[in-house]
Amino acid sequence: MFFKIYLFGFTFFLILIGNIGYAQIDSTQKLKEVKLKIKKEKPSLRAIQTIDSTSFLKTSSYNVADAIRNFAGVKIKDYGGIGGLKTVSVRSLGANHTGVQIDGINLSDAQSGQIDLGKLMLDNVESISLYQAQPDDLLTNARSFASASLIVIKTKAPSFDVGRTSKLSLKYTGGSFGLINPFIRYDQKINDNWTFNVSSALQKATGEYKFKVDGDGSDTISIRRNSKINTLLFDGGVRGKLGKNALLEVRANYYDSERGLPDAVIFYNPTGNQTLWNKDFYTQAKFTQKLGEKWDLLASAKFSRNYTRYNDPDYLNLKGELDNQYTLKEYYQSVAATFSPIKNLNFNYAADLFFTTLYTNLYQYAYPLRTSLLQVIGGKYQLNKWTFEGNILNTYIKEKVKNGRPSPERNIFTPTISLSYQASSNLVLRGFYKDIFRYPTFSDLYYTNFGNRKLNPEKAKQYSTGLIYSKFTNTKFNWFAFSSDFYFNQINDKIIALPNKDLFIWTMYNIGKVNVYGVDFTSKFNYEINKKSELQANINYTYQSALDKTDPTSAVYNNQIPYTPHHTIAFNAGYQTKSWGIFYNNIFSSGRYYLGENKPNYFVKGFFVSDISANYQTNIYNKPISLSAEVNNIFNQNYSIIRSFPMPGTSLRLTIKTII
Amino acid sequence: MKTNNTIFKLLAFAFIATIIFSCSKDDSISELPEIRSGFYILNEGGFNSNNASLDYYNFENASLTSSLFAQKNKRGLGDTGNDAQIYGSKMYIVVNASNTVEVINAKTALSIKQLDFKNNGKGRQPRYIVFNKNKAFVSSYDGTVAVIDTASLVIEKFITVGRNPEQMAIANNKIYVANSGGLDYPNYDKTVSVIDLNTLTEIKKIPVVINPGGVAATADGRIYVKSTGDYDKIMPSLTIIDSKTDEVKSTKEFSGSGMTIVEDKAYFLTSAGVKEYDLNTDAVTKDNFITDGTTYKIGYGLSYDKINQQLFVCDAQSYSGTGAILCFDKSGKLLYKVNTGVLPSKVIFLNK
Repeated sequence: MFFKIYLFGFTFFLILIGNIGYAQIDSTQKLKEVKLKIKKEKPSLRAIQTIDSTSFLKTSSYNVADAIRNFAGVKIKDYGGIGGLKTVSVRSLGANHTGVQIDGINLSDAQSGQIDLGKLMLDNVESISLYQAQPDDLLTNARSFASASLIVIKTKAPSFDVGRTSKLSLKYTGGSFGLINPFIRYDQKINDNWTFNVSSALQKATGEYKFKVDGDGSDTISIRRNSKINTLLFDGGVRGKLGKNALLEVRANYYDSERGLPDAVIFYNPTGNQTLWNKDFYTQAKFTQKLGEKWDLLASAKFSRNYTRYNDPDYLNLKGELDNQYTLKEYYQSVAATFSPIKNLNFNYAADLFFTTLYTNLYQYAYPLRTSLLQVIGGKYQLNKWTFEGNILNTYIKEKVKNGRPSPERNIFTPTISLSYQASSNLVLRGFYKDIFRYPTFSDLYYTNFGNRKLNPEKAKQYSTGLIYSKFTNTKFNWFAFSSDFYFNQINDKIIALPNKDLFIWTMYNIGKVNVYGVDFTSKFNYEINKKSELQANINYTYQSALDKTDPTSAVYNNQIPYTPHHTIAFNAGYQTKSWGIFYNNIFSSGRYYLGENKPNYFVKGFFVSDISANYQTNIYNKPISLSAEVNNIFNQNYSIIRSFPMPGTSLRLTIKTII
Repeated sequence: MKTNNTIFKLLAFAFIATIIFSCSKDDSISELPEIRSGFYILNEGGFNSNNASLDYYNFENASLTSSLFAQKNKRGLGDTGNDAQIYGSKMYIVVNASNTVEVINAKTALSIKQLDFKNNGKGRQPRYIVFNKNKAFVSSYDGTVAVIDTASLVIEKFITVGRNPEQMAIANNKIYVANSGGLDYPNYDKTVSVIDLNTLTEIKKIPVVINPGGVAATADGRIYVKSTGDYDKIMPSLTIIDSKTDEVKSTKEFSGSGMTIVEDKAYFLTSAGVKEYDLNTDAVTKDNFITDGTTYKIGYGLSYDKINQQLFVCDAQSYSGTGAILCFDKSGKLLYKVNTGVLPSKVIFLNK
């Protein structure tokens, strides 16, 4: 069914745009542009890590989770396979402390607090950045200041070659797990000021892969079943200038997927028949206006509706299945302004007002309506080599429910202070302090029987200090950069599920305390062999000591929290010429414990996973053709990130791309 | 050429590094104990964690052997070990999420047979086991009680009972099965099925308070049924059934879990301690059986050693790591404490 609809759309596109000219992909041109962009970037007050679309292939990335797994300080929880849930925890604060933003507006995570980054495809993505504490640009919404770290995804704006008014991009990816993934995008110039683009993708896979069951005494290789995925994606946007100094962007996005959940590997019981459906729609608008030399305005609005259905046909109740449905809706609006009275001094203010509701078919559900008003006021001042930035975020949250009492009203003020010092033209020293929290999710508060409506926000204090060094030369070893940041994070009132007195029911409590000591190290190297080819490499390293500080009498006190490796190394290196390139990517993670207690019985061994990718560009009948091949987990390592959820062995992905 | 050389070096590095990191150490297997006298501990393990385990505690040198089943049989017990009992020379371990009943030699812990509890690939979810005249009876969440011949180890029959049956007790040649309906919140079951041991069929359903889970029989044939209620308006309760008439004698609100009957006393776990209840007067005699001030964090199971007259409390502790067993003498004083695997739920005695 999916496929038929898709084919129809595909054909429609082709008919619509019959005569389209030619474009060029010039990889060396792109290389230069990238380098220029890097050179122009001002060193940030806080650590930023960015990956852009030219690097997705080099790191064998297929979705947003893959693309950011090389970042320092990042821990991806991956349940394995194409449809497997992938969430990210930054600097060991937990996935709920990471915000995700697409084109300036956050994805709503009020239901579970975690965004599945495996759902976010890369076809329309221009760049992905991870900001510690908050973004650099002050002209942004208040929600950007409201999480411990923020993933900022920027989508590709329409672009045209000289003399052209339209562009049709086609891509087809296929590979292991029965993967079929065509993508089509059309960009059109309406007039000098306005453009639009539409795109669509289909992703279909059986998702099945072989793995070795460890510990059930069998020597056979099993197959991970019930992991099929069917996804359909539509995206469209209009961008244009309103007068001289104003810009309007409107986008709409629809994601529809059905995927099997293969369940944990349970010894002697391989069956799992659960299915998850998602139907996510959002539309957003962003308006920016420059008012004279001193004022900048930003207004944005978004409506999102996320429908999730979970079905377990093996559930042994009267109905013979468990079928839970959730609809999360959010109505969001924001205004932001920056004011620069004199050079080197900027003030910012932003206010976001949004309403979030959750509907479920759970018995006696609370049906909450959350009203959030976030306001931030701050400023940035540069004095010689010093840069100072500070702000205060005010969060006001009030909830209404249809059953029982709502969670109490909250009004919280949280500050952030950042400071940097330009020690030399190559070296910048930096540091920040941020006080932030994650608000309990609807699941934490209201899940029938489990929720605890009295929960306090989970507090996080971040202290970070570091340096960034970068050097460009005209020699062959033309570019070198590294950064190193040391941090101390403290989590208080961590929200943890524990069984209540009766032992039959679990309830959420605010009892956890965690201290995180860590080091993030990033480095990049560029070596120009000649005008047409170069070697690129980067190594990122993370050290984390994330210790449970909840209860000194407990056996888990001072133990490393679950699934937190002490050492993580991400290494990427390769060779790129004008027409072809080959890259090697590697992630090493030291061993972890799957329980809070660091005993050998609870140890999950580390992994060392390598991917290789190759790309080749040519022109056929004057049309640019780009071919790429990725071999993931080349040494076929049998490993898992989450215990009982094995990761795939060696797999292959082939992609062909063209622009008409 | 230089470039190719660099790539080659990179690959070589990756290759060597992979080899180094692939050669991870195997879990070292300690010396196996010779089983003399002691007891077994069943650790339920975390859900989805495949870490149910059977520990063995040796009285002689007061030492614990962890994961004895896995050591002896070179494979794990599976996921969620729910119940274990010794009958004759064999021990039967009911593994809920793995949908198996592991039958092992009670002295050597070596596997004799693994019984599969799947119905056309769909797990029945076995819960508890009781025995009568060379037959084992296993309740499963699919609403059945399986009849297993303890000599041939073949499942002979599935008796249909109520929804999501839990514990069972035997009195007057009948099995009493608590039908919890626990997977149907808030529409729980509220009956106890009576199975005739001659015909092996359900002969009656006795209505009790909703969500019954624990069942135990006294020597004189009274059946005590512990209902959890609905966590909202209907409170936990205790119902007494007369097994001669199969009528409810009395029902009262009562809290406590892990009901264990020892002669004319019953013991219950509460967050404040172990409640002692007199079965003759039907009244709580002690709010806390423990007399020396010993506390436990999360009481997860109660077991009684008839020969040594000791009461064991299984403490889940942090709930997500090492648990413990606390052994108390008749006077409620702590004799010793042993650390165990994840979520200890039961102590199984081997005193013959």
